[in-house]
This record gives sequence, structure tokens and C-alpha cells, in this order.
Amino acid sequence: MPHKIKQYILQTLRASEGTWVSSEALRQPFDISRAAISKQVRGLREKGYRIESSPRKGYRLFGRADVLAPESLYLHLEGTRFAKGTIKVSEVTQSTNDDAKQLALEGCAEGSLVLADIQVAGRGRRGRVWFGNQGDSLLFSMVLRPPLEPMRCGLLPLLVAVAVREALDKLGVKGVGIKWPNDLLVDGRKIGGILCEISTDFDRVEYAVVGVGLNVNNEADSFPDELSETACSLKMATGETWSRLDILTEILRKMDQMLRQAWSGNFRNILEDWRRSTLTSGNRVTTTLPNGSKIQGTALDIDDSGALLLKDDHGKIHLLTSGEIS
Amino acid sequence: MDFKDLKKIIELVKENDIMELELQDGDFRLATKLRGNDPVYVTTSAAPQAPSASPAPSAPQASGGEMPPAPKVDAPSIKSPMVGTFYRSSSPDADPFVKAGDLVEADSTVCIIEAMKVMNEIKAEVTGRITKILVENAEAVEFGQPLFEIEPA
Repeated sequence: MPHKIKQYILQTLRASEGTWVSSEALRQPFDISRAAISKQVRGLREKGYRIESSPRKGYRLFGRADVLAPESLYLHLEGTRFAKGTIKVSEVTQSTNDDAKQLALEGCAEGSLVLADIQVAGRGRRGRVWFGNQGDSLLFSMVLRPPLEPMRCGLLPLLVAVAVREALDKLGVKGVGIKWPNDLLVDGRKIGGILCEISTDFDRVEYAVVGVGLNVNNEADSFPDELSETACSLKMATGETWSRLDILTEILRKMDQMLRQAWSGNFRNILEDWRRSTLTSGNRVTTTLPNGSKIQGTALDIDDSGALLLKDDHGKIHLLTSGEIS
Repeated sequence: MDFKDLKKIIELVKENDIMELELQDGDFRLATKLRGNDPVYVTTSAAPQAPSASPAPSAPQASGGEMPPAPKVDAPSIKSPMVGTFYRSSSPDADPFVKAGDLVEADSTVCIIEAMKVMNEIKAEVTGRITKILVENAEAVEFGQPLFEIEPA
């Protein structure tokens, strides 16, 4: 209930575009006291919303606060699957992917989201640590219920990479490229990582958890030494400070569209978009396979399952589903 | 076989509504299967130095069944739902999910299969005892390939 009231207050104040809204207008739909409204407004202020109050005039909202809170997210994501699930925001968590898995096991709806300002044990693939600083990065995970065979879930990381790239492009961040299968790079430096985890039976997917970590307002000196050469943020790339709320909204709106296609079995556009923005195809690469062996050659393309076609120096074609490209 | 050949083959499969095709050229092997109107490619490539211990895939079995040829296993087994890489633990320095002799529940995670960086936690799906681990850590596996032998309880 308090969620719904906060959401309504925000929605109404936002709709009135900085003009006063009476306390009476805010309290009426819920049949609660003016004092109760005042309490909810205090709660919103604590989350970072700038709301002015006047005993006679009521309330008004200043600006468009960059607040990652369930109330603002439900508003911004209205009409998408992400406004229909659970939204959980915390300051600190071990890992948003682990939290999302927990929600999935409890039976949450597709589109449920977990966000955090800091991840203590943020993981990359195979247990690698992903760095997240206080509120500089955008760290979120979502629960999906793909109506697909487990085998086709290999396309999910490619879909997410395309969604993030296109969202950033639309907001004006140009030049983000994708390294197979799902690394996001600007000028050869990594700005984001994606970790997809699924739980399946032999022929059906129970749930998929997609985690995204994006360096947004991180300063160059905030990265640990070992990453200072290889990591980058949107702020470093553009010189501007970005709204995490805007970026998240854009990514999730794009993803909602793309998932609608994907869940109907149509990955054609997604594969085409991926091919258009890849940095891998056409280049000489060294692939380190999980067992430690290496293949050198030219990356040609991906196949319809997302696997990489690599032509080695002896002219042999390899179709790779795993491996690190460098 | 080069990329052009491969493309040509895939085109031919699509155009002629071939339901299933297997092809081998040296140690490159391609298997494709059509599902509905949407072709699904099941493909593998050997590691650069094909380990001499693993025999080259034999001729397709005549059964025409659902799965590509896999080592013949008599005991009940846990099979891979996808093409990918087999991992016995959640990270390189973690303990394996299961060892030979371990008892598992239907919802116990027994391994991870990774493809395109999707980590797929594989469940035992039956309660029982793991009797044999059939694949080495970090090796490539095929769709339907048995990963563990299990003795149902």
C-alpha cells in the first residue's frame, strides 16, 4: 500500500509539471489523512526526490530526480513486462544475480528486477569479480521465463548486448561496440558486462537471470590498478554525467521489444543488429578455449545459434560456443 | 571446408527442407536438424589439437532418433541439453558440485554447461547416486551427450 501511495504522489506531482498540487487531491483516492500523505512525502524526500511543501498550497516537485526506486521505476517502465513484476532496490547486496535467482525460485513473474548501488560479491563469468562503486555504476538483474528450448538461450547474451548498445546509442553515446558474444567496449575498453544464468530441465527453461553491470559515472581513478587500462565508463567516454534512471529505462524498454520477438522464436532482427555492431567479425583474433588451448585466426561471422565462426591459419573453420577472444 | 562451403550447405538444407543432415570432413563435423520452419544447428568443432584419445565420431547411427550419435551408455545418465562447455564447479577454485559416489536429489545442481557465456545449471532430475563422471572439466559437449552415470535410488 505505501508503495502505491508513493507512486500515486509521484505520478500526480510529475503530471502537474512543477505546479502546486493540494494535499486534498493526493489524499482523496486512498481515503487517508493529510498527515499520512506528509509521511509518504518525507519518505520520497529521503530517497532523493526534491519535493517542496506549503501548508496552504500543497506540494510540488522540482526537476527530474535520478532516483532508482521502485516507485519511479514502475512509472518509467509502465506498459512493459518490467512494470509487472517485483522490483527490489538495495544499497548493498552480495550479487544482484543471486538475489534475482532467489526471486525466481520463489515464483516471481517474468520481468522482476533487482537493483543495487554496490555489489559486494558481484560476479562475472566463472566467478570473476565485477567492480561496482557507490552509485556510479548501474547494476541490475532481471528474471526471465524464456519459452524456448535451453539450446536457444545462447542467443540471450547477444540480445542483451544489442539492447544496451542501442539504448546508449539512442541516448547519444555513440561508438559502443560488441565483442563476441556480449562484451560492451568503447575504444577497446570495457564499459559493461553481462552475465546470463539459466536453470533448465532437459527440454525446458525454468528461469533465466540476466545481470548487467554498466560503468556510468565512474571516474578514471576509481578503478583498481589492474583495470585502469582496460575499463572505461560512460562519463570517461563522453565527459558527461549520466542519469542512471534514464539509461535503465531506455535499456529495459528496448529489451521489452526485443524479448517480444525472441519469445515468439524470431531472432532474425536481433542477429542482424548484432552483426552490424560487432567488433569481432572480420578481425584477426586469438581465442583461448576453456581447456587452455588457443586458436589463432580470422573471426568470420556468427551462426544462427550465436556461435562464432573462426577460420584458423590452416584454413580450417571452427564453430565456437565458448572461449575468450583477444 | 571453408566458410563459403558451409554457407552453401546451410542454404541447401534450408531450401530443400532437409530435416536432418550430418556431415564429416576430416575432424570437422556438422549436424543440422530442422524443427518446424526454423532450422536449429547442432554443430561442433574439435579442439585445435584433437585429443588422440577421443575416437572420431562414428558413422551416424541408423536409429534416426532425436539425438546426434553419442557414446553408447547402458546405465541411466544425465544428459546435456545443449552444445557447450562442461564445468564441474561454479568457478575455477570452487569444489566440484558432485563427485563419483555422491548422492543427489532431483533438484541438486550437478554441473554447469556454458554456451555464448550463458551459464546453465544442470539439475540431476532424479534422486540417486552418481556412479561415473563421463566428461572432463572444461571440455566441449554436444546436445544430448551423457555427462554422468546415475544409479536411481
